[in-house]
Amino acid sequence: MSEALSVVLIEDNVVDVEAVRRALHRQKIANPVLVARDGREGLALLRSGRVERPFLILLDLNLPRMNGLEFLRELRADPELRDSVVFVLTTSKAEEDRAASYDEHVAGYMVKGSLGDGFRHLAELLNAYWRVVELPVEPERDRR
Amino acid sequence: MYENAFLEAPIGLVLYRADSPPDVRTLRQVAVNHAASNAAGRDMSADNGRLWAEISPEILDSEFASIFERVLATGEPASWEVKYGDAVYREAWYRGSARRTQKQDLLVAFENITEHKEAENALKRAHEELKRSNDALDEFAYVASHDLKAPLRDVDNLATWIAEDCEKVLPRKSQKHLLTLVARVRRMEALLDDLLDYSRAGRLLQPTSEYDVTSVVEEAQKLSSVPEGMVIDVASPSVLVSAPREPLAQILRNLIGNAVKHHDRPTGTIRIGWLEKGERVEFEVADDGPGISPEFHERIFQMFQTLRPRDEVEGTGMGLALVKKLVEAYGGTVSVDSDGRGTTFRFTWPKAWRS
Repeated sequence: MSEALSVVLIEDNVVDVEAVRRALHRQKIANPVLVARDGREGLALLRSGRVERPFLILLDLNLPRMNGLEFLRELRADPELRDSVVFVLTTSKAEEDRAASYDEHVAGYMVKGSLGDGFRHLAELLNAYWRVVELPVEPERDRR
Repeated sequence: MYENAFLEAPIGLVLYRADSPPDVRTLRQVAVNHAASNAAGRDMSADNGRLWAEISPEILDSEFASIFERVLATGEPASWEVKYGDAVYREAWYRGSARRTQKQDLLVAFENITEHKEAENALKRAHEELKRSNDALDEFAYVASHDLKAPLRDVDNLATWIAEDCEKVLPRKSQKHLLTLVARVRRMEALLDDLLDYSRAGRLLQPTSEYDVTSVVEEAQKLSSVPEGMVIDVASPSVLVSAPREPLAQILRNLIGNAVKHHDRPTGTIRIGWLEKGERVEFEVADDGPGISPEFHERIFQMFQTLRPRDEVEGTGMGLALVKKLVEAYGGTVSVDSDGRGTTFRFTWPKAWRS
């Protein structure tokens, strides 16, 4: 697993934020976790240059000011950020939400209630994912 | 003799004679019976001999004029169900028909269906009202169960973390309390999940597909986490069914789960069978557990009912209520048979479901 990899967590519920932190900690994942509390804060954080690549985003859908789907649309329209890997992490089991998320090319859609005690399955998934998957390292425009 | 039959007929009859060529303006009332006067709220016998258009000039602008015109011209009978009223004829809902007789007269038969119509409208309104309030209730149950679950999950997490983090410092009694707290929160989550399923059960939005019931029974059995020692005995021929699949699977899961959960011995047998009965398949899920005393046979199908303390057997009391709602939503019936040891549940499922 890449030591430098960061997790950007866009989530307004402090208990869920801590649940993610604890789950990662349990899996001995010590990577930095940066938290934004809504879509706008998320975009601002990603555009601030404070997040180093490689990173991946865990995104809640039901958020104040700018919700998860609106955030995804903005993200995909941003040439610097459009290649970001995003996992949706939500309480919504609604098929519309799932379809709309995959329309915006998310890497996976996860329902909070189905992630085992204390988001255990989420941490296991991320642990395995990082070990196997090569993430984009630099923005597309620099590669040209 | 015919004249009497005409006069005493239970339906309103009026005979009009037209000049040649036939024209509604020349229609003249020649005969009318008692029922017609009663229906129209006017002594129509006094109008005999008068021009139809003269009795009530307003009626020439009504749809009756065009209907009569057409019947006279084509000879094709016509019927109607309209609300009409003017200065002469009482306002009411009229159902009637008109035909051209062999003598080229116009015979109109009609009745006043206002009461019937009002009852029908009241019934329709009541039905719409009921549907609206049922939908609102389902919507409420859905939103409530979804939105109440989020903070509950937080409470669950927080209590679990306190128990984990304070394992060394918390008195044993408090640790036990925390575990009970978590268990209660999970029970409430389960209740909300079941309530959600229950609120959705009557909606009939599930797609119809064709399947062999054996496959559904086997699938339900696999998903029911049957403990070792418990044998499930499935012995019936395959039957093809064309109906929503998921509700049947859920009914079977609930009944198998129920039999397993309430069994009082380490080993036991659950027999699942079915047989075709006309347009339906009758399923039977029978266990050799402790049985259910007949005095409780009604109560077990009600919401939130359990027969043993929830601390002994964890349950929401919604399982059989959901079974009943699902079975009945698809036009079937469910019953329980138990006297002494063992319980048998029977329910029917449509072979070809048309909503």
